[in-house]
Amino acid sequence: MAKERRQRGARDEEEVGFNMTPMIDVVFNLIIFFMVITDMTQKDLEYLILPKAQLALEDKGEQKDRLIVNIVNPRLKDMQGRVDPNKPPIFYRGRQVASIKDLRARLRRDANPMLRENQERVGPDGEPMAPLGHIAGEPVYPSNKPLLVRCDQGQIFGWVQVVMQAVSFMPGQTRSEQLTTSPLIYKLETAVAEPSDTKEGGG
Amino acid sequence: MPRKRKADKAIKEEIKMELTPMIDVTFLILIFFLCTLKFKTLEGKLLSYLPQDQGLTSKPDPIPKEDAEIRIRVPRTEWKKNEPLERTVQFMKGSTNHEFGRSTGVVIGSDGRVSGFKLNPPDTMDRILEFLKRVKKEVPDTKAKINAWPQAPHVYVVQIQNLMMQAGFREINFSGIPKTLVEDLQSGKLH
Repeated sequence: MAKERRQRGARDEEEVGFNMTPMIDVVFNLIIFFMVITDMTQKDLEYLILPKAQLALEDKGEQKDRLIVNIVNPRLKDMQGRVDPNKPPIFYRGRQVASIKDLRARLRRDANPMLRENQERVGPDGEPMAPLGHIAGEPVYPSNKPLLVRCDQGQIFGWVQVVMQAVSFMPGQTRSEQLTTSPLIYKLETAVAEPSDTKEGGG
Repeated sequence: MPRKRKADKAIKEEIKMELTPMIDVTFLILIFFLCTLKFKTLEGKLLSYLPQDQGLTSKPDPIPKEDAEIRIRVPRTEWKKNEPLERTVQFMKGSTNHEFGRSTGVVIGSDGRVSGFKLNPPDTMDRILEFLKRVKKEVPDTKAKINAWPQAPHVYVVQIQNLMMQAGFREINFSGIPKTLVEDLQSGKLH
């Protein structure tokens, strides 16, 4: 009698245990889903409101090594406390740059026009490009990396002008200084929003 | 023989995997992805190419006859959302450097449309577009230049760039800023 009860008890215990396998399957599927759709490049995008333009091309972000510079508006609620007023309101790779010189140096490092794989030898219309000069006998071509400038619509255009100059040729420098310090980027993309789109942010 | 069966059972028990830590870790990863997830936002872009042999120039350059130039002059006031700002849009064409109409006080709303006039200029953003289209049609090689003041809000420069693109200009030049203004920007004088 007692033995029979024990046996029934053991059977009952076995029945209440649940099978974990489907749950693990589902959880793994969810993880794979999130890993696939999470775009890690979003870390380069700061919170800002983009100006609208009717003729904007869709930004598919097809080039993975594209460089992104964010010119933020410190007055935006989400940026308050994140922007040091003593530094330019420019963020590069998630960090506010210390100065324009600092931005230029960091872009030079990433867009290095001295590396053969970074050199653009064909122009936008397919024409062969001439070297801009030589450093230690090596030809220097413009960098083939494009730069996306994301500027808040309320920010002053002067910062965009400064970035444009910092990535190409800064005033007051000799040509040899420019060739050794400039990122020599010439492909520029200005981030804009579509007219019907009233979204804010983007990163 | 029964001993062998016992040994097999022991081996079977030993290789049984403990799932609990794996489930814990899996759930942690899942929560991490759920928290950090931001769906990719679709943005647009305007393409431009900087000159390869030289940068933006801050020196006043002679305007060739066929060049069109739009200058945005902006007072030193902050741009605020939904508040129209007074600003002057000058359109200069050819070596005569004449203004387009007498646009000395165009008020551009935050939606980019001309909402009123300070004085009585005969032009609007639509008429500037019309004019740009006509110039482009008459002289297809015309180059356009945006000569924006550093204090101009970025939104207005994009609007002018958009107008020029709508008119069919492929090559749009931007004026640069001199070294002293770069220093002023960095020191916060131009904020």
